[in-house]
Amino acid sequence: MVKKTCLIILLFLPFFTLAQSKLPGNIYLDKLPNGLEILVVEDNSVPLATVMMSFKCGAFTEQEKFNGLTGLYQGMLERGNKEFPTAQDVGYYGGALGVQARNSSTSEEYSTCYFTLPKLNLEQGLNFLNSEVRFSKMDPGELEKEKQIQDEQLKQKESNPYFSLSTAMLHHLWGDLYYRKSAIGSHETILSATPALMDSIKNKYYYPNNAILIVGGDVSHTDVFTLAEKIYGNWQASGFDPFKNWPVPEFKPLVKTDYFIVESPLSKSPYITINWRGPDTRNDIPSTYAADVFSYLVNQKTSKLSQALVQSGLALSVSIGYTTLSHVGPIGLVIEPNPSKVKECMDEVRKQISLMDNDDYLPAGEIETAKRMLEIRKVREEEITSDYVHILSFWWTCASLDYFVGYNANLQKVTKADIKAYINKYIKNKPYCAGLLISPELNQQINAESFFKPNN
Amino acid sequence: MKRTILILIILLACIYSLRAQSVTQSFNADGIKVIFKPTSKNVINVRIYFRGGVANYSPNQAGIENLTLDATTKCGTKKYNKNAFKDSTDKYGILTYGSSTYDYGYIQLNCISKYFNQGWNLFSEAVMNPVFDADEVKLLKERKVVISRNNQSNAETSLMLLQMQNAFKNTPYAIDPDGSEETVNGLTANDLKNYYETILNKNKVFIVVVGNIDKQVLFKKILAAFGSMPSQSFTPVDLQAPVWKDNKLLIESRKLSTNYVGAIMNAPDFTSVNYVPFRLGISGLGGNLYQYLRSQLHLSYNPGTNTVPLKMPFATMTAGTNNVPEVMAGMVNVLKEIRNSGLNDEWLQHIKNTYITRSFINDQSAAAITDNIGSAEILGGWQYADDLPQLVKMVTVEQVNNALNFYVVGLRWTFLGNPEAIENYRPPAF
Repeated sequence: MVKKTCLIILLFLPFFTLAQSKLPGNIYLDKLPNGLEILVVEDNSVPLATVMMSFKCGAFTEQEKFNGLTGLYQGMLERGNKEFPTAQDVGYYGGALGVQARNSSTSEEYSTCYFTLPKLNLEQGLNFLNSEVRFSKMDPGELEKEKQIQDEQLKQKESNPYFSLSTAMLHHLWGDLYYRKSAIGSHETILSATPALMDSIKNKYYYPNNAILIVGGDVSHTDVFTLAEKIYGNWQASGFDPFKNWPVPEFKPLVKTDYFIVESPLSKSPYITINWRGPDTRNDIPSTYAADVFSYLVNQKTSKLSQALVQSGLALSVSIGYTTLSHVGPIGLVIEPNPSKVKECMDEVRKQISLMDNDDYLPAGEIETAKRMLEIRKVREEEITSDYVHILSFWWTCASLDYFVGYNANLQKVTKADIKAYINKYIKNKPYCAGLLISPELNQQINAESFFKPNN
Repeated sequence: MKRTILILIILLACIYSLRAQSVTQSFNADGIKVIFKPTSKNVINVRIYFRGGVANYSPNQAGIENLTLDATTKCGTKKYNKNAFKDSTDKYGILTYGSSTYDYGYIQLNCISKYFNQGWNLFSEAVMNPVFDADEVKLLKERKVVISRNNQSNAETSLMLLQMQNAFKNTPYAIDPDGSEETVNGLTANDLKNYYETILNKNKVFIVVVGNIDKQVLFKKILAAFGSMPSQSFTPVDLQAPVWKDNKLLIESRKLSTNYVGAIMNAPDFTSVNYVPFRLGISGLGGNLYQYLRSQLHLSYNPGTNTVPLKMPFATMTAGTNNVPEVMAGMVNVLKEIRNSGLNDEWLQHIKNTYITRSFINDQSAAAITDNIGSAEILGGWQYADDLPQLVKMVTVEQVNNALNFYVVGLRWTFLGNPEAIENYRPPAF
């Protein structure tokens, strides 16, 4: 009887695996005993595999003296390891495997390294990634080179006037914790990085229990799970939760509206950004869906906002967006005002913000269209597997895979009342920060300080 | 109990078998060849291909197929006028368009699977019941003329057209499938209607479908939509590529900040056993050119090679440069070196792996897969698209070296830019 029972269980085991969760039919999730999560996206379209490992760390886990160093650490993963001692060795072996699109990135809430290679080289690719992630050399000479590269990248960004505006916005919107939203860091922190500081990052966050391995492409999930166990199974878990040992501090509430002007001779035309503190996935998930529907609706050419600003000739363009994050996502309204009507444009922007919860701002038919188009956009985002793994990685870090899986269904539940509640909770009559980027010449002509300020 | 377990085993085997059936397959739907690749993707791409391309019409009609196929989705149908058609595509995020190139034309549908029925209705209407409204065709022609002018102003596109006209003089490939301003302006709505009647033929078309859709559902939809399509005999034109043994140079004067130079050489047929080895060899040549002309000598920022798998196949070397004689000499030297010295095993393995990734990384969408399958079918068989990775894996160093030496016997050069940059210069002997 026991044998029969076991046989039946064995026969139905694949069904239990298939029914693992609400994940789509071609996506499979597993977890090693050391805590490493493994997500496989099966897609037989082309004979490639994209391999990615992401960690829950980035600007939000950095103290001020570490600001930008998670990105620097990620860059160092490609500069030699126990198996391939130099950056040249890493590049050569990667080339031999057919590795393309090899890169790493760090943002507010996640760090990731990834590449794509022929599916036939999947096992070597997983070993290659293992060498990079677990056995990086952090050679002091290579660190100096990487510091120079990162510093140059920062200089390049600083030569862009929009970067000056966005950096100023970080300080105004997030206050003394601004660096928790800026992954690029500063010249000072980048140039003062040492191997010891790199180790410090590794020892806090670079453990299997804070990571996900995502493999997408013409692969079998059972093969990937087996290979992951073989290659990453002996990676020791940290034994601690980094978010309990080093909690991410909460931002102090934004108590008053704040206006600022950034003058730049590089600015060719004026540019306004208005940011609010929005919802996050720890505290208010329903508002994140309402935020997406509202943003899509308002960004249509036929919207009230567009008619009032763009069709009227007060602005060249206007758009609103919300960035989903686990630690307060910003809501951003971006306006390119008509250079000859900056004041009138700003007056109208304030008026429109006060109208956003009106019924005629949120036509029922357009809400339904917005939901349908967002649904279509999500399906289209999933089409290219080497891109899709990035989206999955993003959602794993800033929300959860369940959030991602339930996105479309929850989007359909959004009502006009939900959108109004979102506007009233986060936008209308709420403190915000407004920044104006302008050339000194235009500022002299229009005296922006006289009207670009609160309560005008 | 034994019987129950046996039934369960059979049931499970069937389920696994169904799940494993995600390979490309072909079937016949009332005389129309259908190639279907089921995927897990929720974006569905459908293309109906029309065989023949530029061989279907005369040079003075250049652009007619491109304009006709585009008009099927832009000028309304019997059931939906132009605006109703567009409203439906906008409402459900549906993309439809038609286009034509050297060997074939197509009408395409791209939509998410949830709205496939809506997309299919529009697509089948566009294929079977297009209305070539004179006013709409006039507007479309104006847009095509603007596109043609833009293409003319793009140096790299212009170079490619010139190369084709230079190398394929007196063959159908000397025709620009987009047509010229003159030929497009000369076409009427009635011309398009009459032309479409000549290509809408069960024996001339085939359909490629890629996406998450049930085969039986697809089969029934095709029967219902296209069962009444005319069926007439069709014999494809037999095209033979010229052999370029010489080293002729065509110079086209144009005021550009950078001059462009390109050379066309012979290549094996898509179905030849030499095709994949040759293609890998040309890929290796491209890497060497980049290393020599860009990294080592800094003479060109974009030297590259390409194998162009058409019914009359060829390969190209191109570069943008202001040091034309040095770059042309460099191209010939690098080509001679790879032909004389050949590849070795390690180098070939590098090329193979990189080739696979580069070839497919931009070909992951349903539309790109449809394109690859459709092109392969036109050139000799859709199976080649599926077999490519395996064919690449099997290639040997000897095959690559032999293919490069056998097919490359001369270069047909084309220059676009300031003639003074190449004054009194003759291409180096090859």
